[in-house]
Amino acid sequence: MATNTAAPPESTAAPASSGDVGGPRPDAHGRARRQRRGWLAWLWLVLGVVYTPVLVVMVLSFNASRYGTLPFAFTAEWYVALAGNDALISATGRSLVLSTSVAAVAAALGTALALWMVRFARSGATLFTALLTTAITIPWLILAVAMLLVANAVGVGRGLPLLFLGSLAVAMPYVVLVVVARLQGLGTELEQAARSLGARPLTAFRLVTLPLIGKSVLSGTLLAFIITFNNFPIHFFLAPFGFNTLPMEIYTFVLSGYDPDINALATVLISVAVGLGLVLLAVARRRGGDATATSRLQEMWG
Amino acid sequence: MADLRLDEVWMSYSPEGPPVLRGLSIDVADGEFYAMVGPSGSGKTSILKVLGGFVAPDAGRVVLDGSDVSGVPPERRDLGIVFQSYALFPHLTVGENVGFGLRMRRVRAREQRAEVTRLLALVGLPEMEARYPDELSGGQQQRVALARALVTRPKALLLDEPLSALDRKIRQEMQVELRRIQREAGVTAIIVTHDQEEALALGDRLMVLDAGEVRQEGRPAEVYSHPRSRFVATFLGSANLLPATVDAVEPSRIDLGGLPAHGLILPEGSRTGDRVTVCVRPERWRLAGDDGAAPDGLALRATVRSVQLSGQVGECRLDSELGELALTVLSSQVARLEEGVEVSLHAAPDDVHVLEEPAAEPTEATEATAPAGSRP
Repeated sequence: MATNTAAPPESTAAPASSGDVGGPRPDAHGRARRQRRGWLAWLWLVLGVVYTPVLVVMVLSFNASRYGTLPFAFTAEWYVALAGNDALISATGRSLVLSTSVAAVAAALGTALALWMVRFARSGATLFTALLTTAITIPWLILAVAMLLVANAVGVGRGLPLLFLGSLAVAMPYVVLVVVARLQGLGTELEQAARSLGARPLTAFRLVTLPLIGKSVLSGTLLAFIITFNNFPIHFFLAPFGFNTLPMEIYTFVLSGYDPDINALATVLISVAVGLGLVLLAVARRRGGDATATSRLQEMWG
Repeated sequence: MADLRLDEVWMSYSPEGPPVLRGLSIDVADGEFYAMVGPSGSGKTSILKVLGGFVAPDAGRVVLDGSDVSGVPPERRDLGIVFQSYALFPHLTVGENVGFGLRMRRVRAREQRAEVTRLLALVGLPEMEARYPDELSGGQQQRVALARALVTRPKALLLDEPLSALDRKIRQEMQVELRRIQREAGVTAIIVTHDQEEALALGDRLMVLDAGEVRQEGRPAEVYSHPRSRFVATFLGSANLLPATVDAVEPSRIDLGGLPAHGLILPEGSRTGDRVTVCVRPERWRLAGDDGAAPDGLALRATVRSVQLSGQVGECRLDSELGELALTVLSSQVARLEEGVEVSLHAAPDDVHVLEEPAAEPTEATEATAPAGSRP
């Protein structure tokens, strides 16, 4: 840009201008470099806001001080305490069972629903997609209170069925939306090609469509799991009394005073999550060594 | 390998929607390469969907190899289809893609491998089995799709705009290849395309389709040089279309706004006073010497307005007493045709086609007066 606008006035003196063409370039490079630095700083700031507290918690889980004071003195004391904290451990168990079962049902029903919407609902697909998209924008707190209200009115009340149903209703739209997007991108020609080569409808689905939407189903299921695991408002309002999920248990602990064994639990959970993420990344990268990690990630999440 | 027939097929995508195919009949002989050409929305892809069994016609019969296949699902029709997008399975290797049809027929693994190798050699892609489709160029993907469609020795091969995604140079190469492969496999093939050059180059027989109806059918050269409607004349190549009136029938004399033309073949049943359209292909004009004699056919004088050279040929625009005319000459002749030069044009009786439709209001005229389902 800079060279183009600078050239015309000097073009009468051809030899001179050819010498000047090189002039503005280092400047442009300098600006690009400054811009790059600016964006990188911004990126690190955002990452820092997320990761600093996490790292602090992880460090503190190994710190001997009960109140998080320095100097740092290594201890595994809090992990021992965590192992003896039955309330936290059983709450973790409840949360895992709830999230896993909700994610599994959301995966199966959500994928089936997505297939029906794309293949058979025709003009309805856009309406359903819009309704589901709207559904995931409703604040969970309001949704949870409203669900409890209706449940009480029809005489169901708090309980495991209501907790499961409420969690499923919140989590399943994510599976449907992710899989619908993938199916729409896939089109019907691949399945038609398989049919024309002699595959019955179910065989064509199993050998062609399913492998190609597999990553989207997996990422939708993971989303459903994470959302169910974290969904404090839904747990708080819909779970039967005495059935404390992990977020509820942590909330109770924090209210009554903070013990560093919560830090230890947080460290364990984060490690599991990061480990799971790395495994998924490795799985996604397995086929085709040429593609970059980021493109595989995009594929996985979309 | 088999013959293939559509009998009076009507089809629409929704019960209340307009029909996409209107009583369409085609008859493709065993081993023939049949090209269907038409503008987008003319129903080309719908014909393939009906043939492939993906859409059921509302009325009419689909006959393959002598038997009615109307209720037969796609997987039991035994047709090879090459889709416009190729539709290669991205998660399978080239070898697995080509072998897919054999796998569905539970052919033994060793035979599968041998057949896949044979087919990949036929399409000119040996030793590509282990690659994935996204590692191939567009032309190579095209060949893999062709191999996959042919591996089961289908009764017929359906090609849906198979070359439209390729660039011009590769497309011409693939046209030649496609003909060779079709001949070697000895398979009946139907190609649909919107590209008139492709249809003219590939087909043993050509059918021009418009609005779900057959407009004209015949050998490509014959359809091109003897269009029977304004639509066919302008859709296949370009044409000078001139309004005219029938002056006399036997012997024929046609009046083009004061300019007479003798010895032309009139449409059947023409009567004196009929309003018609006269069609001359731009490359069929001959630049005549100024000898003053009035031969049969159409002769007139015109002034060169512009000349545009495009490689082997030059495209000229001329002003004449009949209005603007298009003239195409070989580039060796372009030197004579400078702007403002007056030339004598002559078109032989065989190169001047009298079309039944009057020239006014082109779109309405082609719809209203075209003989429905006219066939040679």
